[in-house]
Amino acid sequence: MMFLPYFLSWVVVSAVGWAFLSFDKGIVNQMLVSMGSDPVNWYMEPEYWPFFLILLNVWKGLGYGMIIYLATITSIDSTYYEAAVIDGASIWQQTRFITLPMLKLVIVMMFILAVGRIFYTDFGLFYQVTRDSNSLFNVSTTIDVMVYKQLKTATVGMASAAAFVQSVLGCATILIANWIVRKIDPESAMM
Amino acid sequence: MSTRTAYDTGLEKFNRTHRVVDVIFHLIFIVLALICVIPVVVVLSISFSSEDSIRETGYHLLPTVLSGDAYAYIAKQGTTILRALGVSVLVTVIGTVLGVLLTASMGYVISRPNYKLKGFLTWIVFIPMVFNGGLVSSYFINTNLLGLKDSIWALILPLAVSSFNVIICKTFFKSTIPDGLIESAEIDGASQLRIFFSIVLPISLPVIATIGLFLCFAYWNDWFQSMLYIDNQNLYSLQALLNSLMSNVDALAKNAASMGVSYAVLVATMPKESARMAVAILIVLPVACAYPFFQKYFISGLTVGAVKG
Repeated sequence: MMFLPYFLSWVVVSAVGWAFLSFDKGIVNQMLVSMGSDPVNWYMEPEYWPFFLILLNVWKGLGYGMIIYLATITSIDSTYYEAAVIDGASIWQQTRFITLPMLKLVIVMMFILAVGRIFYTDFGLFYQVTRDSNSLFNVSTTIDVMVYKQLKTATVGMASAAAFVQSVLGCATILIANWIVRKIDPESAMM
Repeated sequence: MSTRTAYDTGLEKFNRTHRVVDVIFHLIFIVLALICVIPVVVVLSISFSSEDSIRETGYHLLPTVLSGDAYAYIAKQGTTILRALGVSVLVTVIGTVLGVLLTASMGYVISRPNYKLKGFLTWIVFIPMVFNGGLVSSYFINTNLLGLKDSIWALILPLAVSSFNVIICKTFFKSTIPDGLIESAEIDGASQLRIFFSIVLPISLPVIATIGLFLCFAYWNDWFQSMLYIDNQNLYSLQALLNSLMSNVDALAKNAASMGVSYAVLVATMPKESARMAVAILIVLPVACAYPFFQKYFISGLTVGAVKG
């Protein structure tokens, strides 16, 4: 069930968000009103959105991340656990000394990939889910959104410059993250 | 609790957590699962609510007044939705078949140890994973150079082959197909194409299925390509249709004349809010129905990817 959000497109997520946050009909505002406070015009208030955006991103990626770790955990040889049990390790000690070390490689890899995407944002999240609201301009205009908007308004030079800078920065962050990982623990670096 | 004693006597007792911890973990996971499912339930309930109840009391977790108006409307409204559905299905089917074919053949070629350019081509494939030209360059290549603007191929080609999938394929072919198998086929006089289609593909079914699935979901869920390249409403996929409905729900009523009523009447009477959510449900439904059957492949596919990176 937790995999479900991963299969929703951002357009659908945007519709879901609208169902919750719409000013006059949204569920959140109804709750606020029924608790006696004033409804909030969510799509006009930039200060809430960093929180919403992070929440939605985590919500959508939850299933994916979980399955990756789950698949790795199930591939751990069960004899490790049997040996640990014979030695009298509790379930917590097994987690700490078998599962986590075995997961290290995957955790590091996911980390490097995530770091490499710092300068990229999910265009759908920032453009669709915020419904391209002008009041949210300051919190929703990431490089991807800016490139798209400029492409549509035909200031192409700027757009391609921005996209290029993004690529360079993204590449640099991956290399730097990988370099740091290699300094700390050479075995788990990617390249 | 008949198993209790068995637990206490066996080594299994080391594997038991405290009862309170158990309960807390279960609660956490129940809450997480609910958070993932409830939003979809909300959309479903809105699509089944009557327009009047939405106008008066807003959206609810469960419909206050049950009504199938939105779906009846969509069925009656036919052409717009049907065409969008047709585009979505067509793009998904063609895209998946084409994508799998191209990805697998490319992966196969660069996995062959006796192919001279394999090192070079692997780099060509790998570089875009960490460094690429971005949106603008692909936009101009697709519109100006390839002339894909407002063509159905604009929805299919840009997503067909991804570096990530090619690398997954390559890793799979390299690690699971013994060289001897291909050599023996060569000795028997099979052509390269014959080897690929009758030997390599059949034994690579797991990876093919996984990539096909990834592509299938990617095509079905794609709205970005439509937004970039498609202006012609007749080529809208379901996702693009929902996208335009989000900002302007009246778009659904555009072929009012064909239904024998005036545009204004139709706009006034159509179940706007619920129709929008009904389209969203149309999008989610096939995915939600298909997913349980493919879960196995999906998980194995993610592992193939995760191991290699």
